[in-house]
Amino acid sequence: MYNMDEVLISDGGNTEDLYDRFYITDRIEATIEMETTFGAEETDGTITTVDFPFKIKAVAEGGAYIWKEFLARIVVCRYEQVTIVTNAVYSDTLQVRQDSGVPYSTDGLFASNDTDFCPVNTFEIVLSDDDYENAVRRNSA
Amino acid sequence: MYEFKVASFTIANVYAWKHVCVSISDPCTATDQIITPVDPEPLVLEYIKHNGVQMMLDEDAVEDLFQYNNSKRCLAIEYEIYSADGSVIDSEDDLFSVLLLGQRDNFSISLDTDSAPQDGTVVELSYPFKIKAINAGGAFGWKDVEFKIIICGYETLDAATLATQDYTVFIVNAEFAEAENKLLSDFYTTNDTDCPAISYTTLISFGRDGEVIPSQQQSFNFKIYQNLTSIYLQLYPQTQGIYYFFVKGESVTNQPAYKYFNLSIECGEISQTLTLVDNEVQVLDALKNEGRVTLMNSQLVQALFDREEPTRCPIETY
Repeated sequence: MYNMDEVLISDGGNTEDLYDRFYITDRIEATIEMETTFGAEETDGTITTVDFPFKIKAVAEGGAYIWKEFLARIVVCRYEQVTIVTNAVYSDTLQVRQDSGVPYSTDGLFASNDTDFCPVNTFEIVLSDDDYENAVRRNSA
Repeated sequence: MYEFKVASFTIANVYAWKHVCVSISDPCTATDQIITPVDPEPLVLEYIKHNGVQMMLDEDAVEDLFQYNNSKRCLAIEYEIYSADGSVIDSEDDLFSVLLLGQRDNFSISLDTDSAPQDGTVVELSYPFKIKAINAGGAFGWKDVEFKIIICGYETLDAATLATQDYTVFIVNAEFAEAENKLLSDFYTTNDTDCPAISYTTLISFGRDGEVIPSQQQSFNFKIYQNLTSIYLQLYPQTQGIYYFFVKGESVTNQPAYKYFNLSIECGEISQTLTLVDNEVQVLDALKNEGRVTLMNSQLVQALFDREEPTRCPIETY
């Protein structure tokens, strides 16, 4: 016998959200199943994972029990691939002490294969084309 | 023995005869007679308790206990009563009162059967004593006699109630283990308070095919336990199950009564201790938008938990 009430949220309570997401009503034995469908509108491109902490209460015949904590996560971003749109090198000549900066838009420079959930959303200037970890930053000596 | 007649005459020669017998014998002495019991074995007489004063041996019966090497002379003229070791019975002695020696005015011997209450272990009260037959010359002989008051043997025992006695007890871990003791005397009645049930036996069954005692495994869960003062049915739940058994109560004379028990041994909350194989939070990742996915199958979930008592009270829900 596997009691659906034994899957509870992390504070020991019960919510309809978890109830549905973990298919509690048709749970088979002790299996943990989760619905991973996730709407793009539920994330803004900054979320790596969506957490669903919960507990399983194991109950022995007679009533002895113990809790085990779980953290189910829907991985939103981790497997996306980001590419540059074009290999062309942007080149420009600016005057010293120009009154105002010349803005370059980053729009269109990069593309993500997971535009809905994991678009390019941060940028950094480096001064060399070494690998990302070793690239020369502006403040470097 | 000399017999003769004496004639008495009047002057007119009228006469009458007087028949005279004269017996001439030696006086009795301590050595010219040997008095012995007819039967050298002790005479044992018994009577059921609480029947008042009963004459156990009348005077003739007392006389008949002895024989003589010369039955024609110097027979016993007195029958005294002594304790079994031949000593004089003091008025404080039980024998003095139970044989009513203070009221004895002939050679019969009586027994007061109105015994005091007993504790259930006494089958009969025994009063051994000696009768000393003494003749006029001081010759004497002894006869060992034992009077008994029957205390138990006619009692009837019953279960106090015919209904099955039900108990439900819960298995507990060793640190909490404590036996439940049920006073067995509460379960039986007797029609004779001198003879209650005093010994008990657990039985799985009894009847034409004999008595079946519990197995060793069953006896771990219920058994007879006796301390210095009382006897109990001890319930010490070890193994889940329902146990049907009898406890046979017996009086000192093995008059039986049977009480039926139904013992249900169940798992309680402290019958099992569950532990986690790993106390860390178990992280389960799933890629988005893959629909319904299995994060962990049943076997893997079950493997996250351990039981301290692997032979009982399994985990039944997760």
